[in-house]
Amino acid sequence: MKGWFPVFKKELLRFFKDKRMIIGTLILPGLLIYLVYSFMGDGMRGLIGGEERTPTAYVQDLPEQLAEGFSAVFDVTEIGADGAESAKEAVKNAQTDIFVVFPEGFWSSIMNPTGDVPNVEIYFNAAESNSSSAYSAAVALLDALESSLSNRFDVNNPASGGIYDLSDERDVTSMIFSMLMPMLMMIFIFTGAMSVAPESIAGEKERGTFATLLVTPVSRAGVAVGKIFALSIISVLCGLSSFIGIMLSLPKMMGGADVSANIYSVGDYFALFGIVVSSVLLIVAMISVISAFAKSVKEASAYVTPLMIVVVLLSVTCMFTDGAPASVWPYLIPLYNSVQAINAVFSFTAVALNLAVGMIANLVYTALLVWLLTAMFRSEKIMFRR
Amino acid sequence: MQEILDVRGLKKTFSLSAKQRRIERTDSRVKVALDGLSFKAYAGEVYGLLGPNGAGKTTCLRILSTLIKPDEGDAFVAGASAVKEEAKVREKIGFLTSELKLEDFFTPNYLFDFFSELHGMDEHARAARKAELFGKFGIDRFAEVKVADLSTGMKQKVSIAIAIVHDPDVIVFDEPTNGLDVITAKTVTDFLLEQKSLGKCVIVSTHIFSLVEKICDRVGVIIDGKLVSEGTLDEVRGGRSLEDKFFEIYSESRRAKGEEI
Repeated sequence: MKGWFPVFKKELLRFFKDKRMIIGTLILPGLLIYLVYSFMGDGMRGLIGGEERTPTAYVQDLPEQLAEGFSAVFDVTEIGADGAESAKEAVKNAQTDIFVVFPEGFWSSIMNPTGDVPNVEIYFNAAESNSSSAYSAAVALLDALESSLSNRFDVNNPASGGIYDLSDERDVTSMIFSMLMPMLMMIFIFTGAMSVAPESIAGEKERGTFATLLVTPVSRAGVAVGKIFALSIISVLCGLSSFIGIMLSLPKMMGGADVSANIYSVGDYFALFGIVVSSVLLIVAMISVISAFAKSVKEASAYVTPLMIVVVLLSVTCMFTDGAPASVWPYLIPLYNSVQAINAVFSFTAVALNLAVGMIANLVYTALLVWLLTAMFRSEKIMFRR
Repeated sequence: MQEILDVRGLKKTFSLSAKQRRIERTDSRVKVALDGLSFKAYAGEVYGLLGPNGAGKTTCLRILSTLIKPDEGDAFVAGASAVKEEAKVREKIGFLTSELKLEDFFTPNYLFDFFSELHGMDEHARAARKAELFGKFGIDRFAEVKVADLSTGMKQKVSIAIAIVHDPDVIVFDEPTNGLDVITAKTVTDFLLEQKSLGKCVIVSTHIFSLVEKICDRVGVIIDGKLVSEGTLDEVRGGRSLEDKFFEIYSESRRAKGEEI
């Protein structure tokens, strides 16, 4: 591996001295993720009624027995029969949210059913989100009334004061993190590697600077190792930028829910660090091999895209599984093992042996790919084909 | 004179893609680039390789620089085999060709340090060599300017300095004055003559007859991967101009293959 360190230093210097690279791959991704996710979170919260707003309702012939219940939910304006048309117009023009019409003698007809079922009319404007929400609230209120009239049993009646959801904050947070983080982290790692590896290998081939390196006494293995180590560090930093962006925006994205990564121990973070480092090395080595085969950066990017799709598909699998696999063999499958190992740590289902197998497997695959990359650097057909 | 380069029976063929076969107008799936090429070069001489495009000059130089391997034969640089001892050969040879480029992002200063580190030079030796070469080529003036912002001539000077950063025994230059202005071209030819006087072996591949006549002690004419004529300049010229003699040799080789010129 003679000469790997100067190559390693040069790759790092190439990156850290280029302001555009720093802004484009280190600062912008994290910043944009933070801004976009925060904006999305705020938007979602506004949509589902994050701000306190009492819906307005015009009501005709509101039974006295329902007045209190309606007033608790709506800002009620009672109107007479002669105001029906203007009330509908007000709903249409979004001046009020809904217009509810109770049939005459509604209360007595439901208390003493005669066979004819009274019909409550609720006018709303489906094009207005406030009106639709108010409509749903009114329907829910009246459905509850209807249920109470024929009540035989309750399920988890809030009036009982019991706490039936036995999950705690730790469980909820781990569920959210184990669903989201494997996918996000793998994608961030991959995009980080993708933004630098093709340029460093296929780009150097394309520009003719690789051949300049190959006529020096530095060994091909030294070039491969120096590049992969440097690109891995850069990829981790690129991924870290996106990770910080997502962690900062997470509370807003979760609509203010109390989601904190404080539930994880130092040991969990060490395990995560090991998984991330071994995964980054493997992914960088994979992209480097593909880039060495390509004649240009453009060609390398095209070849890497299917691998990106595979990573995304594998990452999504943990959204549909409960915890990580308990057996050891899934941790031998490259990429999938990284996804499941991250999942295991975040879902508190990690088995030390499985994590170790996953990390060692990644390092072994990386070593094999470095060997392959070295062989490719020696091949004149690959390095100098036109 | 001390023999320092020994090229023995180099053979090299390249497979041709369908596209390349169309361009070359041939049905053959392989192109013979070198067909048993042999020659020797000595310390303290400039050896010129002359030949038309596609004759195999660049392939020969790429084998000498260990970028590619021959199918048969070997080349020995100061006793080291280009096939079996690539790293040793790369320590003894300085190679410059238009296909070797410098990274635009870096400065000559950084690149010199980087390549000297790859050659295992310590800081003291590096500083002395840098002062010598940067002074000789006037690189000091633009040592901290990014390569991207340098002129063609400046880049060529930096490329030469980097190619010989390790003070190699054999200097191999492919078209060393191509695309250079007359002043830079003279700097390069003067430098090559100086290297010769220092006892280095300089191998030059070029199309420029005047350059060959000016700096080469011996010449080898390569056509279709074979050495068809070799000797001192006077021996090869046979009392005529080098250009006339070259075309005569070339015409004979074409006629021998039944081709029109």
